[in-house]
Amino acid sequence: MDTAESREQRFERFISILIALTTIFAATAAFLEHVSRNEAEKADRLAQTLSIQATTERINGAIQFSYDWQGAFQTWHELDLLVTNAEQYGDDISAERFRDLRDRIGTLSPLLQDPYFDTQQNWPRAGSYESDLYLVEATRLSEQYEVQASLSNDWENTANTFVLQLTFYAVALSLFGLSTTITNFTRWLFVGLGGLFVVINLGWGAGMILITFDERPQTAIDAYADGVGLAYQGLNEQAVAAFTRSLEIDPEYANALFDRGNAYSILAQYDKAARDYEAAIQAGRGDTNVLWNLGWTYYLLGRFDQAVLVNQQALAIDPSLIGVRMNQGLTMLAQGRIGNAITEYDLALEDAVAQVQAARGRGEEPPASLWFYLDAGALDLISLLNELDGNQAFWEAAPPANLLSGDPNQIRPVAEEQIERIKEYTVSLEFFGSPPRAEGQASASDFAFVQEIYDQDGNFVEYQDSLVNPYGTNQIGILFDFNGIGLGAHEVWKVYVNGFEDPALRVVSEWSVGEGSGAIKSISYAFSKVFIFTPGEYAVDFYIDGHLVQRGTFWVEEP
Amino acid sequence: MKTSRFEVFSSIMIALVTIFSAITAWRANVASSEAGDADFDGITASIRAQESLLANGIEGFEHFQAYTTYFRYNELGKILDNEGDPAHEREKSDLWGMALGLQYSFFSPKYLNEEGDYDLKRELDELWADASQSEDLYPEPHFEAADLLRDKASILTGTLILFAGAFFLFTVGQAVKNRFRYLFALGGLVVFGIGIIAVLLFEWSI
Repeated sequence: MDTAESREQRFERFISILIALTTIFAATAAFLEHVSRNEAEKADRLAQTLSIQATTERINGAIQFSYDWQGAFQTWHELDLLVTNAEQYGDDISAERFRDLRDRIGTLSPLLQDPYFDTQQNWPRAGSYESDLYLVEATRLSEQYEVQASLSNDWENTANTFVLQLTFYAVALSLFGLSTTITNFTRWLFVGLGGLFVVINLGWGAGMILITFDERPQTAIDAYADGVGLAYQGLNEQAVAAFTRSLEIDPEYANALFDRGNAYSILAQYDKAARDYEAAIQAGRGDTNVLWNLGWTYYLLGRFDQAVLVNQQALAIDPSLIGVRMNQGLTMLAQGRIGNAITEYDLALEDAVAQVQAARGRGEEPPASLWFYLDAGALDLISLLNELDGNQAFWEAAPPANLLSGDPNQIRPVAEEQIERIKEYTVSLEFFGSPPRAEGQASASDFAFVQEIYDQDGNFVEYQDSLVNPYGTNQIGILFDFNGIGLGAHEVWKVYVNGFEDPALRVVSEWSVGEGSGAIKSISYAFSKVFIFTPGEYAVDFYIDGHLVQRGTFWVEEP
Repeated sequence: MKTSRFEVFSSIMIALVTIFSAITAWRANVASSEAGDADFDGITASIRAQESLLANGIEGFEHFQAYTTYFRYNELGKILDNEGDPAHEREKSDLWGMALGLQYSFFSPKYLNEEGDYDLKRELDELWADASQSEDLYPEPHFEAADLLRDKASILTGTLILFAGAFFLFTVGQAVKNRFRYLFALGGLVVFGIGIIAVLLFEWSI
């Protein structure tokens, strides 16, 4: 007979079985959570170990290279200079003695031996040596670390998902238990809801088990690390091939895409570079390095609107990136957005002032890269002007003149003005820690580059114009008239060889020439018989109290 | 309503299964915690090992740098000696004197081999051996222990599924009122037994 009591007993038995069944599912979820957590901890441990090993590999390699370069090669080079000096003086015995000693020193380091020593140039292939010594291996370890760290994260997320499922099983169990305390139809609502939790959990759990994590293949990492080593040596075509091998195995390898983009950029294949940077961002590398490079590449391709957009993204992440801010100004100038360009340069220089003053306020120095980016900002403007004039040098980069959307007649004066501002800010900030003071009174005539001519008795005869100098020149004079330069004024001379400053030729001193006469400044290696000017373009900047007073250029011919 | 002997037996078994499940979960947790400790020891050994490698590298290459200067003076002295010019006697003596001075102050002459070459590998190996005598520099044994303990914890957690199965079978046995309940109870006993054996086996073996 189906009494109310027996119905109640049947219901309770049914719920007991349901609870027992759910317990099995919960135990399974607990087991899977445990397994996932174990995998996460193992991957995390491996990641930590790899990170430590990568750091050690890099530092240990740098220590050894430091010895190879500063110890063995420096000694070798000193002796080689002594050989040259002795030869210049015709002292063959000393030359032979130093040569013998130099060659013996060569046995002390692999850097001074085949295949790392270029006997034609008498200079080590440091990039090749460093790549083999530690760079490739350290890169490989770093990449493996990233893989394991990501894997650990994936497993951790899986474990956390199973914890969530356990919570839902607990809710289901409590709903089943509560249903036995109710006698009317409502109890089926509890049973149904609990059952729904269990069914959803089961489906979800089955789905979780089927998920596999993408682990980057070791072959892709190996090819990438090789590419990094090749790029470090400046072998960019081979580096592109290595990165491509890596990307054939793992097309979503963001670091390989970024570095191949860099290699393409150096090879001036800007279209390919831009595509790789875009793909790197798609693959998850949306950092400022990639955005910076992509913005610059768009600029060189004449894709100014895109460049502005990408620069904005980079500046949104880090507004203190002076290099990007300068690129933004440059791009807007190329677009003909003169007012916006000037605003961007204003912001960049204000940022530079703030960074220098903040650093010095703390008793520290600003990063060396600040001076590099300021110099590069001026160089980029010079490159744009030279492109407009159709005489771009090999070290310069600018978009083709026909792609510029701005009016060249408007661009030129603004570019000239910004070059002067950037240069003056650079010198003023470096030496005085503040922006240039009010307009100075100092002026100088155009530079005349000259050689001093002496007679047979060693008496000075005359200055000879020497704008273009033969190979072997080791001294040049700069002749000019000046006004408004008081004794003791702060004087700086900077010399840019093929676009980049040679700090060895920088002169910083106090002005010591009285008014009323011209002046001559000598740039020279003539104090020694060993050095000469390398062939190329020498751009000379002359500053008084932080103001750019005059600029001029001379050349040294190829042998 | 009178409770049957079977229901009493089932209830006792369910209670035992629950107690064993709790003990197993505790043991799994202990194993997991010990695995974490072993990992920590391994990472610590790994850091010490890398520290030691760096410190040894710096020391070794400092000495090799001094040897380079020694080598320069010594070899220049030899070159002058080979030239046989008496005018260089004083210079030669100065050079060898400086080389000898460096040898005592800035690197150990015991690493100079018969040919006068510096045996940097020997020095680095000796420094490593010294460090490993006073510190634990080998992470692998710790990591192996951690992996074993993790496996143990996973297996113990896995046996909870068996206990849940036994719990289920005893519960069904209680719910079923015909003779099949003995079959369920027997199944529950077998699964419970397997679970207990598995727990004891892994508890003692690892």
